[in-house]
Amino acid sequence: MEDYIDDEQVKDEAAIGSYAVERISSVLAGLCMFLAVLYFSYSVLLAAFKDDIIEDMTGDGRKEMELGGIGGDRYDSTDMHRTLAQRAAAQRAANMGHSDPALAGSALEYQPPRGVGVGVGVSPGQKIVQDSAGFISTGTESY
Amino acid sequence: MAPSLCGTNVTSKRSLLALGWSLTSLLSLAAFITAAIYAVQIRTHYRHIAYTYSNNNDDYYANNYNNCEGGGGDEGCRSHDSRDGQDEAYYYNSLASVSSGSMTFAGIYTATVAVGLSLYGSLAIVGFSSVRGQYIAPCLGGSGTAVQSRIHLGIFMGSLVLFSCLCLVCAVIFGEFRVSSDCGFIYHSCCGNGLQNDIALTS
Repeated sequence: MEDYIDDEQVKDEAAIGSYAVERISSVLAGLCMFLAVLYFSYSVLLAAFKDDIIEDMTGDGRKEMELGGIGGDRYDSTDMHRTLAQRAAAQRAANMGHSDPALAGSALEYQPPRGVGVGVGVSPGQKIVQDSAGFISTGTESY
Repeated sequence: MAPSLCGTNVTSKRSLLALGWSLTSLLSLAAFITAAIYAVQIRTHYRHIAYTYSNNNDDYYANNYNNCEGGGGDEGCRSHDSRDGQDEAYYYNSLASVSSGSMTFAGIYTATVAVGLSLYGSLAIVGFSSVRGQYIAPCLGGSGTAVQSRIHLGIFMGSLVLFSCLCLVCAVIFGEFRVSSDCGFIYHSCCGNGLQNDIALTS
């Protein structure tokens, strides 16, 4: 049989004799194996740290705010701390006249997170105002 | 100064998870793009081979036909070489043109699920990591109760495990994917009978 293909490279490449779809399936097999290892590794990592994730998802998100992350303050607002402080003040007032001496005068002491209420800048002309919940601010909502 | 888990940007376990998920998503995207480029390259390459053989066969057959008209006689015009050349051209054309719809569907489905998982994990569960490595909290699903959070996390982890198992099964099936025909792969031994046999895809 006379060989009529002049391009040696084409002849060498064509001599392999496998279908194009078989080579593509090999590529996809490699891709799927890579994805399987990748996602399984991440699921193991996620299972190892799942408690921290749940804690952060259900908590007040203070950790990330303190750590300087972006968006961690979505859980944190002036209103939330104000509500907690008001709740503590209400309980304190309710326990004032309690017959049980252990409870009388006791209160749920709420401590705002580190950084909240500390280092509030006061520009000239502003006054420090204390509201009914005991919060100290400059009188504006900027925080 | 916040404590650091790894480097200056990974300051908590949650930011580590967000960084890991961002890397996972980016690696998945890169893998899909690479696979698509390889697939297109292989398909183009095979079509080039088929085109080359087809053109050369036509030229060869035309030259042979001209030579035999010049006095070669009927024997030269109907030589076995030109017939084998046609078979070869048909063979390489079939190598290039056989496709599998199920494989295309599996690839597209895997890519779609990977994109969905990436969006769900980034937007609702673990959050993002910026280019500088800074943690960005998820913007959806942050106001649920503890039970809801556990359910969301469980769904996400289950989806991850199921998807990795799906990818493993697909990898095994694609690795064993072969095209079988009555003619087989060695065309020199049987292509004289023609390649008009039905080509069956088996896996």
